[in-house]
Amino acid sequence: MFTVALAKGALLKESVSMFSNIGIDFSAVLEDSNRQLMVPSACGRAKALLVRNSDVPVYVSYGQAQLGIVGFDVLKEQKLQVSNLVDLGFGACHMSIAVKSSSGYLSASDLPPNCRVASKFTNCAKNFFDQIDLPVQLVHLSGSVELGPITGMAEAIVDLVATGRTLKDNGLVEIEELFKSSARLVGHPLSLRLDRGPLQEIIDSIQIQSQTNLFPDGKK
Amino acid sequence: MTLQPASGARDLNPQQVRKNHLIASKLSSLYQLWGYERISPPHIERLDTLMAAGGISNNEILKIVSDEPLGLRPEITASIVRAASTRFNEYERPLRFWSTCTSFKCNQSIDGGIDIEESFQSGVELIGTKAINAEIELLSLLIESLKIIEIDQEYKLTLLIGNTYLLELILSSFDSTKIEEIKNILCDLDYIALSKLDIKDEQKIFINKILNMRGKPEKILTTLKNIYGSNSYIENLKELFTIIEPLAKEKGIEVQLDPTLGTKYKLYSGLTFSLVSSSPSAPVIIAKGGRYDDLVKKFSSSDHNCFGIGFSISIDKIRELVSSREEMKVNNEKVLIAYKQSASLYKALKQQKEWHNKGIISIISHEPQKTNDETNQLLKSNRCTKIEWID
Repeated sequence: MFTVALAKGALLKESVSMFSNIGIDFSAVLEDSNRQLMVPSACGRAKALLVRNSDVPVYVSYGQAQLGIVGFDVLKEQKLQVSNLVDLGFGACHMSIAVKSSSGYLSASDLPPNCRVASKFTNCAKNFFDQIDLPVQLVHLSGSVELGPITGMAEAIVDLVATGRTLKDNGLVEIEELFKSSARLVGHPLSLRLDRGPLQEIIDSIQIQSQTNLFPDGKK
Repeated sequence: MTLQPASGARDLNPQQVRKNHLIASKLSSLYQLWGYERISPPHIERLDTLMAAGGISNNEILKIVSDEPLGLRPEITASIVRAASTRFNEYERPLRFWSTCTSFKCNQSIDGGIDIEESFQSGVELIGTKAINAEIELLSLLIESLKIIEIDQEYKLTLLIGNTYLLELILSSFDSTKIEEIKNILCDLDYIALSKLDIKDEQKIFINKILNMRGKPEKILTTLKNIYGSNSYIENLKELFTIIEPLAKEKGIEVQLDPTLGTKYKLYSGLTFSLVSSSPSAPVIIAKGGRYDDLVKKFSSSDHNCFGIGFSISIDKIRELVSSREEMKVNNEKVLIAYKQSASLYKALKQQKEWHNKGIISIISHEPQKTNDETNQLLKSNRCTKIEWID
């Protein structure tokens, strides 16, 4: 039996669907009545751990879950030791720098040195500003980061953008994209090295499944 | 005032210390039977030594605030090689050393700070022999060590063996500008990076094949031989497995050849190995080691006999996998000596000595005991198994 760490929230439905397509039914986790955090699959071959998005790489890097599905943004932010196995294609979004639309800033390099930048992804933000040699003061927020520029606490934010609607509704505008993100299948490196086939079979099936989803007409 | 120990620092209770001591003393007796001598290098070394000539990153070392760059050792090999290349330079090779030590590593925490990782290890170093027999000796000793520690049979043990030269052989067929990237892909099992790598499709298919190549040594060596032809690395490994596999099998240890097995430290040049135990929740590396000839070369004043190989066993990790039966057997009797009048203290001390002479733990009540309830309470709180009354 293997264990998969699944992120609650936006990726859950498609993660469950991905496993369902390869014959592993975790649909019980989607039921409103479900309060269990560790849910066995209907076939009994696997169990799912229902965890927060940011905890998926933690469970996988410690080996409590051999596999996990999580956004690339979380992996890039945490840099934990997990193996990147399959780009699943769903959950597409991108990490961006946004400022108040009235600010006049058109790119990241326009931002004044040592300005305040609010983000939930401070490691990603730090890496980016280090790369462009712009010293900034990073303010870590746990959510609603759009409030940073609105209240005047920060000049800019670094945050995930899916449709851009939240930014627009709050009078913010994107000025630079840091990277694109999508859901990834990750694995515990040591468990993968010890695997004698069953885990690899699952990974291969998911790989084929994700290719089918990405290229339904068979073109690559 | 913060009274908690620093994050990651060990603060063991008596039971954990007893178990550590029991495991360490069993291992040390075994090492001595194999002709290894104990050495005890300092906890603090110069950063140059601790970084093992570039094998260990500066960030992983816990620094000491001082006028010169010093740090706490993150592992023991570099310190022992330093000693072998200086104080023991004139000694006849091979040098066989063992040590039981505490090491300190710095890990980057998610919030960007550092986590200290203090660990208690026991290990050996065999310095000055190139022969494959040195590798066979080390792995045999490791297998024997596992037997003597008596890890619970419910935990399955697997010995993963890799070789940095095999990895170099695999990498040698690629464009030199891509080698570092491909090496990371192979060592991190990063299939996504492979899919995005700018190389020909047939090369991707080949790397994918290598990524999935691990398992029974004979099978993997045959596959490698079919690809690269016969060479000394493959032949040496074949010889090694001929002896090691049956020895491991006798002890219930499965052996697996894994050409892409990397180690966190870039110390090793040649054979590398990790001994993995299944544990109740996740597999755990309980011992690791390898050949570090390049390190010996960098620390030596001459090129003569610059060979070294060693392993370290993580006692902290093994402690949780070893049954408490033996410890219970050793510590099952503990006598409380109680008395009703202060004047009996002298007699109580004499009686305590009698128990000690028999090798049995006995402690004396510090106050005269007035009631049976009070004495029973004392018996319980001191975890004693019986009371002896002194008149």
